[in-house]
Amino acid sequence: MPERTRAHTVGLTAAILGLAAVTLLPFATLRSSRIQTGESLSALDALGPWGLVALLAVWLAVAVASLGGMPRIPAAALRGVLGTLALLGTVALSAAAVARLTDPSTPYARVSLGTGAWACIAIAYSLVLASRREDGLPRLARAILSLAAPLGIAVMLATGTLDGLAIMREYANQSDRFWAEVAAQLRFAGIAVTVALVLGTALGVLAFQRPRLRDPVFAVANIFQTIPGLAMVGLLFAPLSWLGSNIPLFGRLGVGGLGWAPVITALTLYALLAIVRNTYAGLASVPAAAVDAGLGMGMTEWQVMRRVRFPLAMPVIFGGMRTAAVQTLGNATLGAFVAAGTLGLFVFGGLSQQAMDLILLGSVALVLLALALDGILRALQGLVSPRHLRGREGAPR
Amino acid sequence: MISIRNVSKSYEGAGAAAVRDLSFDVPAGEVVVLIGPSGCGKSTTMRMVNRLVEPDAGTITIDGRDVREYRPEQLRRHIGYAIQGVGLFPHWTVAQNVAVVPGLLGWERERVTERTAELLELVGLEPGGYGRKYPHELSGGEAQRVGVARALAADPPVLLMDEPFGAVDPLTRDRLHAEFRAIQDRLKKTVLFVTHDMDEAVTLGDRIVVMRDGMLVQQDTPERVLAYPADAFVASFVGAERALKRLSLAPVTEALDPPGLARACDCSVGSTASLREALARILELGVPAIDVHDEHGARIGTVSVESIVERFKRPLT
Amino acid sequence: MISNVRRAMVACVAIALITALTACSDAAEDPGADRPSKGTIIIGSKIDTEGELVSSIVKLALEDAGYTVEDKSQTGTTEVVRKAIIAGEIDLYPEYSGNGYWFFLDELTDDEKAGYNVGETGYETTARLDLEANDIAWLEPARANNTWAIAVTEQFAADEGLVTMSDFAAYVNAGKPVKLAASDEFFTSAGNPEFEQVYGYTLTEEQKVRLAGGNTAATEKAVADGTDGVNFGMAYGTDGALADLGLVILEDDLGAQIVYWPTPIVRKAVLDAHPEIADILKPVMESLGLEELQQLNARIQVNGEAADDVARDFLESGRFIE
Repeated sequence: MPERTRAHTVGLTAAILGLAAVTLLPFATLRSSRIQTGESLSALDALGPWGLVALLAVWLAVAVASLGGMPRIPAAALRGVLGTLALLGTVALSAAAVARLTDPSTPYARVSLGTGAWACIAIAYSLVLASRREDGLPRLARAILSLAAPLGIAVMLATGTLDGLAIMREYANQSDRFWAEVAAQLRFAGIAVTVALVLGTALGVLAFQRPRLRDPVFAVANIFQTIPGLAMVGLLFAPLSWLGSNIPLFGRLGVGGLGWAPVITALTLYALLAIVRNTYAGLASVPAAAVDAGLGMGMTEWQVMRRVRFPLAMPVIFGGMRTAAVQTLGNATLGAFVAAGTLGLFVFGGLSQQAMDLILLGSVALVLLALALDGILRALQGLVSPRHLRGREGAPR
Repeated sequence: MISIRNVSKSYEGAGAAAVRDLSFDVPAGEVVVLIGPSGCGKSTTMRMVNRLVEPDAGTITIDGRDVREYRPEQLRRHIGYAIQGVGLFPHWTVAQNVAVVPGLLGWERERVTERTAELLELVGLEPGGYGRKYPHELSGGEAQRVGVARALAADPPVLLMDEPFGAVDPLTRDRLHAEFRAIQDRLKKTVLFVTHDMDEAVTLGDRIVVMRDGMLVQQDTPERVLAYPADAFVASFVGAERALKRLSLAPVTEALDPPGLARACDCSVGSTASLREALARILELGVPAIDVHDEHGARIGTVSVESIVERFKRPLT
Repeated sequence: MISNVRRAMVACVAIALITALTACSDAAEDPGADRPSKGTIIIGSKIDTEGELVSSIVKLALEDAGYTVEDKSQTGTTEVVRKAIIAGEIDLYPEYSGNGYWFFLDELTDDEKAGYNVGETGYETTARLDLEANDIAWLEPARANNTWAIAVTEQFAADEGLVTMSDFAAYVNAGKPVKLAASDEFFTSAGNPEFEQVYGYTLTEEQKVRLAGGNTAATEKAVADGTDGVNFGMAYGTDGALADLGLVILEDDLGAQIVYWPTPIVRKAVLDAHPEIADILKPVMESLGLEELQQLNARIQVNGEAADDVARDFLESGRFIE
């Protein structure tokens, strides 16, 4: 007998918020050129009556699926599907609206998603994420729910459905530079996290094995966090510039006050704290009895560290790495301050030109990258967790 | 055998020394139980044998060789070690846990697998089913058995055990005691066992060493410690009912009178029973005396409250 | 047994390898790699539309002439870019002749200071002083005055009959409503003080709306939208957004402002090594007039085209490059 449930608060809240977003908030913005402030349009003006009805219908369906009385797991799955529909529908309908709102006589006019549309997207995605966590949902359903919305967006992007939207028009102007900067963002973040991982775990182990060093190590890692990005690269300018001009090897590698050197240095310093702290905490959380037993049975200190402490600390350490990775990916935008590109270029360039959609191009891309990275790392974390934590009985070897 | 000579240990900041000029032996093949109140230094002493703690003064030798002659990890791989918290490695299966020391000693995989299965059976855990379980899937008693198996894995001549049966219910503990005695009878390991529980000491020990404030207070067989406590402290530590404890140590055959006339009731007890069991039966039945029969059922004598009291009057050799 | 530690290490090594590979592949996509290059020039710029435009023009012109150009445009603020060129991190960037007034303020005679109101003399003074002090050579400038100005909406200009700054002074002194949006710099050190002095008006604090950052895009948008009652906005002479936002600049009829000519400046060491750079860029910069600049800026800022595309069109139509 499948369990039935009472009303699902999250689902109802999402439905109410979604309906409010569609009806009360400005849905889209129409500008005569990319630097104009433009006028806000309601969902009705932007999407037309049928578009509005379609969106309202989806959110109402979410409400119905949350009222209770349905079996629990199918209801959750249904909510997830509806959330995906709401998300993809908002985006697709807005893209379709471009043709309605503009014509060839105004080639520079731009249509952007407004607050209401973004809110819809955020609420819809939150609903999808909440639904996929439902206990008892089969693995396949969980995977489908996680991937459906991103895949849908990817398909729409690939087929050019979204090309009319202002953010995509900005992309069209910048397309070669865009991917180079995405690559730069990923590259800087990747290298910095790798270096921070090596340095940070070493420091964490050191702090753990020499208790007297713990406070100084933590204090140093902490200090870096307090220095804002712009100030950090400013401080690094002189020393790195000196190194680049005076040491031929460094000069050839491109070390200098501008470029990759200050970016990677700054990013690595920022990432240290999370990794050092988590390494320490992970090592400290290992049961003392196990360590005593290990030593008592004849493991050397190093064997205990390598075979007992480290494996048991690994989930916590990996969690620290995840935090550091996502954080670093965002921080990498400071490449724009030192002529190193990255998505920060679009964000700050858009700011200086007062072109909102260029800013969004950079920020939305960044958010999507961060979400994707987090998802990948979470999946990886499952793989590197020691078996005993995965809740499986007697896993075969 | 383990020989502890004039061993002392102090910790900085603590007032009195943890262990003071302690000397005693653990004869080969025997179980010596170190017992005393919390903080008396018994665990510290045990940990000095495998050099988890280094003594400030004195010598510890195993089979004549000073433990300091070995590298600590080499020494420990030849000494079985079982502790109260068990300390099973949570990320390894039962089989992997048991196989640790053989692995450290470089045994071939086949030999290790065989030995692991052998030991699990020895401690009463079915190797096929239990081998692949993880520690968090075991009950308290099962975990402690794995701890014992792990300590025995490399067939060390010496075992150090610090309250290894601590955290289980009394029923399970009794069972574990019985099984431990059975295993020890077979394997004849040299065991230094630490506990604060007098009943456990009496049940498991061939010899008891009572400690207090880091010093040795009495060293003797369990029965003699119960019968002739060295001072008021030992007497109170042993407990007011030491006489009754002694009852469980003596077999009924030590208080046997010749068999009398056959009785009408089925009032008898086996010859392998202890005096405690005999007395319990006597009280249960409400009769002055009961028969004792051998394994074939033949009456070999009677035991009564008087004969028991008589037995207790005799001094121990 | 493959412990999870081992798995984690494999994962980390994989990540490191992938990032390293992308790093290498990025370095491998060098467009001019097949031709032997005459040398590498590192070009920077400030973070604004015109800076990007001029640096793009210079970059494409030099590449066409056979140089390898490292594009570090959008380097940073004026200070960052100055630091960068003096330290040799970049070789060339577009600067404004009028900025010499501020760089060398302490050393200027009064005559020299007055000379900055005329394009030619200001340029010469700056070029001389920068060469002496920093070994930086000033190449041919674009004679387009990208100086401080005040902009109003076309409608407002028509309604109030505002064409010149003298009209503005009369308007202010007549006590009519004024809300001028500008950067802090404009109000305190450059721009407004000169206007006030020459045209004879004073603005009260309530009439000033200070926007941080000195960004004319923001101030122009403010006056175009009339945000918070702003009816006057700071602008630069060559801004591209003016036409699109429906704004006009009030003419500096009495010549109060310093003249700012966009000029590529280069480290003397680099120029000595490659003297032909000056010759390559001379005709290009000569053909960049005020209107030309405004239109090119507009294409980047208003239409959203990429600076390189706009620069290429300009160079191709002027037959400076193939």
